[in-house]
Amino acid sequence: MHPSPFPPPGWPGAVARAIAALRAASAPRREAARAQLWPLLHAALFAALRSQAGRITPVAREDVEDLASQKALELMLRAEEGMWDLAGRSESEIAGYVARVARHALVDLARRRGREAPGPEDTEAWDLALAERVVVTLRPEDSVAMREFSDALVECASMLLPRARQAWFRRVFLERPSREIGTLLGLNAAHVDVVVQRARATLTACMDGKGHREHGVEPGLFVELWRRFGHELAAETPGDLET
Amino acid sequence: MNGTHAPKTTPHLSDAQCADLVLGLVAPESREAWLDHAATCDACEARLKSHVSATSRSRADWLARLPRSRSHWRPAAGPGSRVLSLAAAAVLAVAVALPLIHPVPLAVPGGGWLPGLGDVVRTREGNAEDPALTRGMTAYEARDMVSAERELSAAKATGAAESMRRLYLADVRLNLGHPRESIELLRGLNWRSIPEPYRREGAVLLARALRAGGELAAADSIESTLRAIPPGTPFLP
Repeated sequence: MHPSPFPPPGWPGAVARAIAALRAASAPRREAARAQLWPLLHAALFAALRSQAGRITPVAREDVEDLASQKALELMLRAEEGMWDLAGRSESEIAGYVARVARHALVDLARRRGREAPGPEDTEAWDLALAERVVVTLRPEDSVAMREFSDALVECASMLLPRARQAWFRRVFLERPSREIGTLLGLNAAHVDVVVQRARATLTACMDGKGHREHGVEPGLFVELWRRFGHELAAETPGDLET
Repeated sequence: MNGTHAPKTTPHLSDAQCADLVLGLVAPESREAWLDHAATCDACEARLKSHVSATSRSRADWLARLPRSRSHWRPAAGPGSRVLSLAAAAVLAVAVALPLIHPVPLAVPGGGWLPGLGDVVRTREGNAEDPALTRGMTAYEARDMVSAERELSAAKATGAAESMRRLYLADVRLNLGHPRESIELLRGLNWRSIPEPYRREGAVLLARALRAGGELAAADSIESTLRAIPPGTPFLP
């Protein structure tokens, strides 16, 4: 845990601790230790890949996720076999190593595709593009209306059963495929579609009852819903989410 | 919320901060401040959403133990697409005798390569098996994985020779960085037709492929079983 603003990232230390635990784990506990390390490595690599992707090669979201999974597995195996030894390494060194792994993965991807992204004529242009933000000031009444809409949707979503809420959130806000959602929730893909459809119908009726005739993926809604229900996404098994 | 000014006291979220957020590594007061900012900043919300979305993929991959990929681990055209003709049924006669000749320990010296096939690719009459199989084995022993993959994929064999071809092709594909293809080949093997010590070596290979493919618990299981039984004991993965 660390305070804001501008804190150093917390994941390098968490990765180091998880690897140490994996290396020390006896055979029966090894799988649990791997399960602790996997999301750390994946998230770290995804961050490193995403932050460098545009500078090296054009990539789609799926490309970055593919690379994160591939490299996370490789790093986990290397760590388990002692080929990636973090003993005595500082957190900045760990972060630097992961950044290099990500960069090499992106360069390899670019080579495989036979093309490199055209570099910016002005190196500062990239920083400018990355830092560019859409800044439009809303009128106060619009802001209040959107807040009311957001609160209403959070309230309606809270009335869904946890599994239905997860399926709906993953589909509508995260745009995940049915098969993946099914894997996470212990459902088949067709069942996921039915669950999502029913959740949409329930939410539409609920929002209608609150005087909100339409609802979609409005800016800010994702954050409010994730703030409220994000912990459910980390539930260990589908059994944790019995409807 | 759309496009409103973010609070000036909170900076934009970096990818590293988003990673910390999704991993639950941020102190509650910082988390709330960061989320307040993201709720009012289009770019930061989009960035955070991509990280949350990636954790969904991560979790699904872990549950499935099969990191999916459109571009890196996609199945290639396998041997099933190629015609396998009849050849060298008599190889069994040689193969069955091999356990007495080549006992091989679990841990293979020399980087885990399978032992040479030699006589296994000859018929009773001493003729060479399909030349492609011979060339493939020669390439394998020279550690020329690209040529070995090409020749062993094209080779035609039946019975035990076919099982051995698939076994070696599985090792080649693992060495070429395609663990899923290797696992598919090994799981489709008729293990009973493979003589010892190749069967045991094949089990070690399967464990390596499973480990490389992310099926770590399955790999652990095979390896612990292999360690628990004496080298001469028949073992079916």
